[in-house]
Amino acid sequence: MSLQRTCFYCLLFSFVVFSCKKVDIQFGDQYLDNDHTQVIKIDSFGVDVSTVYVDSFVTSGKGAAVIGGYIDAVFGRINAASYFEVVPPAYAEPYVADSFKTAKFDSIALILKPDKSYSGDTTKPVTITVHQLAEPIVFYDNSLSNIYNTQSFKVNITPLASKNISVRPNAGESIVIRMDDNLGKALLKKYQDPNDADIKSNDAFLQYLYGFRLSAGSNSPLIFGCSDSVIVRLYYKKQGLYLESRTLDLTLANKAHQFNNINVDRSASVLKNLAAVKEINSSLSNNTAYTLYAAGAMAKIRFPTIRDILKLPNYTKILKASLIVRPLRGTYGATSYTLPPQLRLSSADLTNGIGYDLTFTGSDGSTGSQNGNLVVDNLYGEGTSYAYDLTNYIRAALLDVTINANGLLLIPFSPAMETQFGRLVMGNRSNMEGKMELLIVYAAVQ
Amino acid sequence: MIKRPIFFCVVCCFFCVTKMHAQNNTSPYSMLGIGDMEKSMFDRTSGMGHAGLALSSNRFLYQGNPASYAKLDEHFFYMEVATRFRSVGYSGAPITDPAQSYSADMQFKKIAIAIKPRPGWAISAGLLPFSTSNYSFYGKKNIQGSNLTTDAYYDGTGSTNQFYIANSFAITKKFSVGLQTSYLFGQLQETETIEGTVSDSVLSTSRNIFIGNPYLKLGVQYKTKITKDWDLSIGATIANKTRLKADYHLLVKDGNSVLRDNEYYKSNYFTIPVTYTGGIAAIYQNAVTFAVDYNYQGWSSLNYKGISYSLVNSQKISAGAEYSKKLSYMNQAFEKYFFQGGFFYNNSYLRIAGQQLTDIGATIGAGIQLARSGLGLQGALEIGTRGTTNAGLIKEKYTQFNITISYRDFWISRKMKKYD
Repeated sequence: MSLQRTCFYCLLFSFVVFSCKKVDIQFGDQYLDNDHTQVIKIDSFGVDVSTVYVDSFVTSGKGAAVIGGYIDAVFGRINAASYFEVVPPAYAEPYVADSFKTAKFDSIALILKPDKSYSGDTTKPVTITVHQLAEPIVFYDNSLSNIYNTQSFKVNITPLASKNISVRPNAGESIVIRMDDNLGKALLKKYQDPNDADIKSNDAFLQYLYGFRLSAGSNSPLIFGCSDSVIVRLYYKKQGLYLESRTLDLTLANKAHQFNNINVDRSASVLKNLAAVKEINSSLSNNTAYTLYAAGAMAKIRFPTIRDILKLPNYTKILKASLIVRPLRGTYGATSYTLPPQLRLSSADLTNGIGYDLTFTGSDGSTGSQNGNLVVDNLYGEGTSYAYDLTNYIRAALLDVTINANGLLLIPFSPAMETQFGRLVMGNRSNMEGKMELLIVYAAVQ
Repeated sequence: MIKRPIFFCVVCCFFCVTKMHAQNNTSPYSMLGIGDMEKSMFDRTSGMGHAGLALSSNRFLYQGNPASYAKLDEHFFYMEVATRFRSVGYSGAPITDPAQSYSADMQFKKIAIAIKPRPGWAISAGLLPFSTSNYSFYGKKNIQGSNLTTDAYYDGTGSTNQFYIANSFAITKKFSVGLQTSYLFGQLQETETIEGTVSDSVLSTSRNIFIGNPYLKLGVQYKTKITKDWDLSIGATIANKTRLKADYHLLVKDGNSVLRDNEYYKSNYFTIPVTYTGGIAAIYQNAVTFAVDYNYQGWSSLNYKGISYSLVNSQKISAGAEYSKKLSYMNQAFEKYFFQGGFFYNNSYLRIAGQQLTDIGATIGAGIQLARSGLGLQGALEIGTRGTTNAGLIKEKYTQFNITISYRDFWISRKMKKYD
């Protein structure tokens, strides 16, 4: 065998006759010195929770009409009325006047479409009253184009309609309220008069008919929401070969002018002093805090001792920080008060203005606001909770003391925040009926 | 002249190939101590059950005993490189996934050179493996303050090697002594990776241990003719107790951000006990060799203990036989080829869960001397088992194949000497 051939076979052997694969064998972690990095979970950091007063909030342009009222043992008597404008369809000359020439008035009605949101007792009837506005709807401040929950506009004393109805929010049925015939007749007359300018443009019509207010009686047992696609339908008959039933729909004119007046009477509630003191710490309210933004209350959460984590032995970095918010047992249920399906945590400014939401990043890189991922334990209630990932927030708060200075606000997303009445009664760290916990997992490196 | 470039080309290729695929063999037990201590010298004893403390050669390096180099031929330059293929099959309760029950790799293992500048003095230098550590597994790490655990991945890799210089002196024609002065060095890396279950990024703790320490081994050999046909040889070595110093480098990273980057020094990282070895060999008609070795290390006195394991005294017995075909040319004997066989039994220094791990195996080997060249090729196949499946432990069945390439050429040209 030649020298060259020998070398060749040696090299060939080196390349071919082996594989290279490192395998994992589950053996012996007890033999390792793996205590350099310790992962430690701690839940002893204080969470300061309070209930903050919301003096007013924008309710215009939220896409929902809220009507009714109910008594909440915590938040007080809540009443809501919805204001809106309607306009007729575009006027087409000379066709319109001719088509209405032989029309005979039948009726006029308001049609509402419940959006399935409600609070209160659906077994009792609600008296819904429709009033015609006596003044036009205008913005609180034209530069902001907003209308607030505290605003209201004058209405004619005599209601156009008042109807006792049993609302079935989840039935998908429309609510039809017949209104005063005089309104319909006057409207039909305008269509029959080719010289009547009020129906030829929206602006002119809104000078003629400012709009409506939908409200419920002061003893209303229920508050419910409707889509803002409110319709005022004129029913008339037209004489032809035979008598035809026709309708004319007046629809929402300006979504930004549709708003809800919401007022709260807290005089008999546990939060009766809220408006006066502006903020009630949970330690002064039976270790409990409250969130129902639409009723003017929201929970504020702060972590006053969080920087003490820097003093822990071998503390190196926060790996994960989670906030668990638990509703008090017995404060919610399928047949009583509903929990907000989603609650966000938003930063607050000095005046408790709402700042940025805490966000999450999904596995696909997408981002969004955290919503608490509500889990409802229908059996025992102990597992019902909202959970938030505060990792980035706490990390930032450790670096910058100002970040945690104003705390986080626990509120629903808009527009549910302003139009729905799901509410949360939560405990602080000392409340065993619904303990709030800040769970921190951190790395300690020796 | 063409032979030297070819030889060095082969050596370089061995380096490259084995470097690329180095250390893939998992060895679960190597997480203890300084890893699996290498029992082979990757020399001519590899085919004889690693027995050969009493052996010497005028042509080959017997690296178990530094006294053996004194028998090398004068005026020659010797070089040996070795590589090793090893495949391991694992069994036992911890092996639940058949896909994770086998591994194989190939590693470069040795490079050694020797010269004999004076009739009674030979010197050798080289790089030999001392121990290797290589393991990986998924485990659970406790989250303190809770009854929860988080997923963790543990990976250990590294090796210690010895760079040695050995001086061997022929005190008399029958008796020689040698002193091997080594510098043990190496790096052992342990990495713990905590997956993103408790964090939004991977938390890794990497501990690099850099070891460096002198290590001495003294050897003696005595060889005599007891009958016309029989030669008897005995050899022994002793290696000193050595405290290994270590520089630790601790690096903790969360994703790409460094949380901790510390270095510290430990004056007594690990102690290697005194090692005693002895061997005897009988050679018949300079063709058939029988050799037996015994090795003892007193680990128990060092009191290394951990959870359910301890280091205990280790003993190894190895024995082998060889047939060598030699040719005579101009009143000198030249070896053409040889065949070997042997076995070994090793009570290792690890006792885990009450079981002292054993390493038992058999070897066969063969070698040829290429005609009209300084090249020699040796191959040794070793089959053995280590460990046990008792007490939840792991048994490793391994097959190992060593190739050693030896080369010899004139250190000082005879022609040059002639004209001096």
